[in-house]
Order: sequence, then C-alpha cells, then structure tokens
Amino acid sequence: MDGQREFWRWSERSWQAPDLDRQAVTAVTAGIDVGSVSSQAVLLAGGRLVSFFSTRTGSSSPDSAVRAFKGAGEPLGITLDDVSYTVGTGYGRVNVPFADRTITEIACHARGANFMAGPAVRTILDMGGQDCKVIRCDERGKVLNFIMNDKCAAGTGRGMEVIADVLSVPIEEIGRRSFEIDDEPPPVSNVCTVFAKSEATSLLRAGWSVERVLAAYCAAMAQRVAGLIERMGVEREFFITGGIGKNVGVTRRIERLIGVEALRLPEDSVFDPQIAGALGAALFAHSLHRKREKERGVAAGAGAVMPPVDTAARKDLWPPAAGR
Amino acid sequence: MHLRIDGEAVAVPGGSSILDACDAAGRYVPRLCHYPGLSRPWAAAEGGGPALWDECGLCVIRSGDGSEVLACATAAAPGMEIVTDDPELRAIRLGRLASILAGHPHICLSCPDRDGCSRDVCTYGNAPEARCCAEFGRCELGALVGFVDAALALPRRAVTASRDAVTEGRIRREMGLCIGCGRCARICDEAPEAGRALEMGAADAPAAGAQERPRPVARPKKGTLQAAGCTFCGRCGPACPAGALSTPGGAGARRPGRRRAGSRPATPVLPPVGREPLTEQAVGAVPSKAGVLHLLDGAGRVLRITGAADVRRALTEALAGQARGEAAYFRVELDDLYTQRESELLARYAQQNGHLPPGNEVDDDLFGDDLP
Ligand code: SF4
Ligand code: FES
Repeated sequence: MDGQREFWRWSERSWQAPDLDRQAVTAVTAGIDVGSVSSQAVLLAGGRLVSFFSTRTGSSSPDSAVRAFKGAGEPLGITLDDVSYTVGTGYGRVNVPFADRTITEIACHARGANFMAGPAVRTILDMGGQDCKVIRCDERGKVLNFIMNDKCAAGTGRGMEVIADVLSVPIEEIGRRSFEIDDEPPPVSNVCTVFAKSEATSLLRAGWSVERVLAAYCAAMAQRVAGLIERMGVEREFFITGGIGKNVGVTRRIERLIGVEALRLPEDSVFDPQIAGALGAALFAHSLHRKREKERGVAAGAGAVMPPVDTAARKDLWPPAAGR
Repeated sequence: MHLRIDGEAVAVPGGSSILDACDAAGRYVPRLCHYPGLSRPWAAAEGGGPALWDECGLCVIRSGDGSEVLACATAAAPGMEIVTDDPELRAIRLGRLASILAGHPHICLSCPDRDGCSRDVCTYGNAPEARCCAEFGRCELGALVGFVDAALALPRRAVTASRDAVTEGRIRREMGLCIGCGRCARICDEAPEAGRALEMGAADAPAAGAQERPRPVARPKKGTLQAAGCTFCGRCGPACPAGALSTPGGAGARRPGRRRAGSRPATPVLPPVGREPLTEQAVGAVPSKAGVLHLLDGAGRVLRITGAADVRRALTEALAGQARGEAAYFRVELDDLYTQRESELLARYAQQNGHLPPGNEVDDDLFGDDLP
C-alpha cells in the first residue's frame, strides 16, 4: 500500500452484461448522472441493462460525463454514434454535452429505484455526495413529494469521505467495522465535517478504538437522516440509493431509528444503489426514444415501434455474480 | 357603500371594516391578529371586557384626514379615502413587527441557507431554541415577515424561547412560540364545535432577548386541554400563525383539520408574493443570467419551477409557447448553481403543497409500459 493512499475513494465500479451479442445491441439509450462527487453512466439496449460505469466527478463536469460514458460504452465497443437517445441528470446535468434532454435527479432517482427494487417502493432515501433527499413515489416510480437537506455535508458522501480520511479507514470498510464494537457508543454530538477531524482525534486520544469512533459517527449521521425521513413519513416499501446507501454502518442504524427495514436487492443483483439516478435517466431516455420513433413512425405511416421496457423480465437482469 | 382605497373606488356592504374594504379592492394590508370569521380583536375591550390579546397593529393604514388607524378595527364609512402604503406606514409596521419578533425565535427566516436545511444542525451555530419550528416554510408569521420586511431591514437576532412541547390528542402545544395574537382563544370561544378550553394569560417570564413587556400567551384554562374541556376539534392549530399550536397529523399548520358541522375553517388572507406579468417588456428587463424561474397562472398558482443557464432566454421561450400553456406571470431568482437551487425551490413547493408543480411532473407516457 503506498503512503499516498486515498481512503475516501470508492473504487470505480463497472459492469457489462455477460455473453452479450454485440450485433444484437441496438436501440441503445444512455443515462448520465453527473453528481457533485461521482458520475455514472448507464446504457440500455431495447430497454434492457447492458452496461454501467461509476466514477468520481472531476473538476470539469463535461469531462466527467464523457469519461462516465466511455467507461460504460468502451468495453462493449459502443460509441456516442450508437446511442439513440441520452438523458442527463444530477446537478451537473446541464454539462452533459451530448444529452438530448435533461431531467431532474429527483425524477430519475425515483424511476431508477422503482426499476431496481420493484414497484412496491414508495419511499426512497437518496444519500448523495452533497445532499440527502427523501422521495415519495407511486407504483410507476413517479415522484409525488420530496424533501431535501443540502446545506450540511454531515450525513452525505462528502461527510463520510472526511471521516474515512481522518481515521484512515477505506470507505468500503466503514460500515462493517462500525459494528465491530462491544456496545453502541453515544452518537457524536457534532457531525459537522469541519469539526470532525479534531473531534475524532480527541476521541482516539481518549482511548476510543477506531471502530468505536466510526460507530459514533455512523450513529450521528443516521440520526440526522432519520429526522429528515420522519419529516416526510416512511411508507413501505423503503429503499435506499446513493453512495452512502452502500454503507451499512449508516443504513442499519437508520433502519433501527425509524423502525422500518429497507428493501434489499437480491444477493445476485448486479445493481449498485449508486446508479439509480443514471438508470432512471436511461429508462426515461428509452421511453423518449420510443416516443420519438413512434411519432416518426406515425408520420411515415410505418409501424416500427420499439418494444416497451420489459419489467417482467427484470429478473434476468440479475445474472449470477460469477458472470461479472 | 363606496370608498376609495389608494385612489381606486370600491363598493362594500355595510358593516365592513376598512380591512374588508382593502381585501375587496385587492390591496393587501398586513395583518396578524385578525382572522377571518372571528370577532374583531377590539370587540371584547369595546364591550367593557378586558382586551385579552395584543393587537398586532400591523394593519395600520392612513385615513382621509391623515391619521393612522387600524384597518381591522375601524368600520368603513362611505366616502372614505384610504392610503394603504407609504414610507411612514411601512416604518410603523416594521417597528411593530420588530416587537413581535423580539419574543419569537425566527433566526432561520433570514438565513442564507434556509432552503435545503433540515434545521437539525445549524451551519452558523445558532442554538436550537433560536431556530424556527417544524412549520418553517409554511408558517403565516414567516410569510408576513417576508412581506413587511422584504428588504431585510430588521436586525435578525437569535431570540431564544422555551421549546418544551406537549402533545394532547391531535393538538401539539409549543407555547414558547406563542406571539399572543389570541386567534386560538377566540376560535376556541366562538367555533360551535370547540370546547372553550383556551384563554389568554400573562406570560410567566419575558422571553430571553425580549426587550419589552411580555405579550400575553395562550394556555388551557386548566392544567391540560383535556381538563379544560377541549373537544379536540383541531381548529386552533390551523388558526395559529406562529407554530405554537399545531395539529401535526394534518399536513401543516395552515391546513385545516377535519371539517365539522356548523363551522368552516377559514383561510387567512396571506401576503402576495412578487410576480411580473409574462410580457415581452417585462421579460426584456430580466438579465441574461443563470437562475431559477417560476411560471404562474393568472390566479398566481405556480405552474412550473425551472432552472436555466439564461433565465431571459428561458422566459422568451415560455413567452413563445404561451398560447399552449396558461402562464400569465413569472418570478426569477438569479443563482449560478441553478440546478441545485431548482431542487431546493421544488422541495419548498412540495413541502407546502404536498405535490410538485403541475409543469414539473414528468409526462405520464414516459413511465414505461403505457405505449401501445
Ligand atoms: S397560540 Fe398561536 S393563535 Fe394562540 S395566541 Fe399564541 S400565537 Fe396566537
Ligand atoms: S390585524 Fe389589525 S391589529 Fe392585528
């Protein structure tokens, strides 16, 4: 391990449908989610997931959008020319130079979560890089209401990165290690990232184990987020998306506080809760593409219409983990 | 009878107050202790009884002879000439508002980070007792402050008050927030279904940071609402402009509770929000800058909230498409981080209305299986 290790970095995440017949890949639609911390690209072919890629957002949003797209497209030999429709989302959505249309991250997250976790989802907690949203949606994944907190980095991806860095714990391990304790410590009083460093250091000096400090931080973040959820009210099913959604140290504690368990993806699911926004964008892109084709088809008197998104076949978007 | 409000002729039925006449003329005059359908604040005192609540004094207007009078407490008379707004009136209203705010926590109202903050943790380190309450973003007092002090001229201080809350049945009391307007006690007295359980009494101690004599506060006539004969009709919560009394089950302080026979929840007249007519001329005056725009219909309802890199261009497009939509007015807010600001303003709207603006709904045909 080199001395310069960046503990806060989530490793880049990439997935392609195995055994894909490149010739059969047509009607490609793309969803690009450029967030403040990470960017994702999702590619669908005929409404079915074929590839996704997740990377950190760089200083230039347009570059990040292109990088995310390439990450998803290159392994399959898909270039921008092959894409029929692209939807950009996230706060950097206006910086997706090749987008045909932009849609808010709120709508995309709900749509993506609905596709990922099923139509029973009514409440979505999206813990992103710099904000936290609670979204209420209907059985189609259409947003009914939402509430957000974006003024404080605590409880968000950025806040978690600071903790990872201060304690030199890789961000993927925070969740697991935060449970390696004998008893649950009281949540830290101040989750403000500005004070996190000094507070964590003083706790360590007071003889706390790293795990105990992690537990206290995760608990404090969970408390804040639970407050936001309660303001909206939890209606089942409840699903968590976004980067922190992968941190069980926070999510389990949230579940404990609100008394509702979040829906879990099947063991062999390839979905990553972080791609919900890009997935939703890609699904909207698919519908927009079909709509456009249909309008053209009607104009030309032809009947060549794309198939609808096959929700019944969602199961076979989850190939065994070995297929990755 | 006929009178003139700000030079405009208006006809009102006999028995109207000046405030009624101003409402009829479409001239908003700030008001706080006045509540539609309730006896006038001055009625008890006039009848020889004690004035059990403080007049807010915000409805001050100028009558024909130049004197300042309270619009809610003065009967309209034929031929009156009323001025609803001038610098002196504004100054008086500001002063009265300052004294109300001196006892009521309000620091979040002027916070630059007010949207998108859960108020669990304060970026500026304000004590929890000084922060706004759960009704933040939809409270009547906040809307009033936004109107009377639109220029943020008042010093916003970290006023703290006890935030102990008691919930009995569906009614939550956080009496440290009470501003003494008396609306709840009057509604409890006057609504047929209510239990006459509330009264106004002297505040125990001046609120921390308050410079003036304490305002009266509402309280149950006996120790608890139950003991005082409360019927839990839930009328007091929506009537309270300050978040002191609320019915949390219902979605928000101003949302009336379940309607019962004999009495209809009233909707107080709220301050109008700024808006411009969607015309070429008004759009031409908007800078070509990044920001968020609200499009409103003729009745002032929000149709759509959109961030744009160039708000003028977005408005020009809206203008061109006007025939298809029913947008009649707009409002802009400049902000470089307009995608984020758009989300914040959408969240604010959704919290107040329980749904997204109609124009922000994603079209139904984009949800998968609807197409043939
Ligand atoms: S509790 Fe509310 S309605 Fe009642 S007097 Fe106080 S501020 Fe007015
Ligand atoms: S509204 Fe007239 S004195 Fe309060």
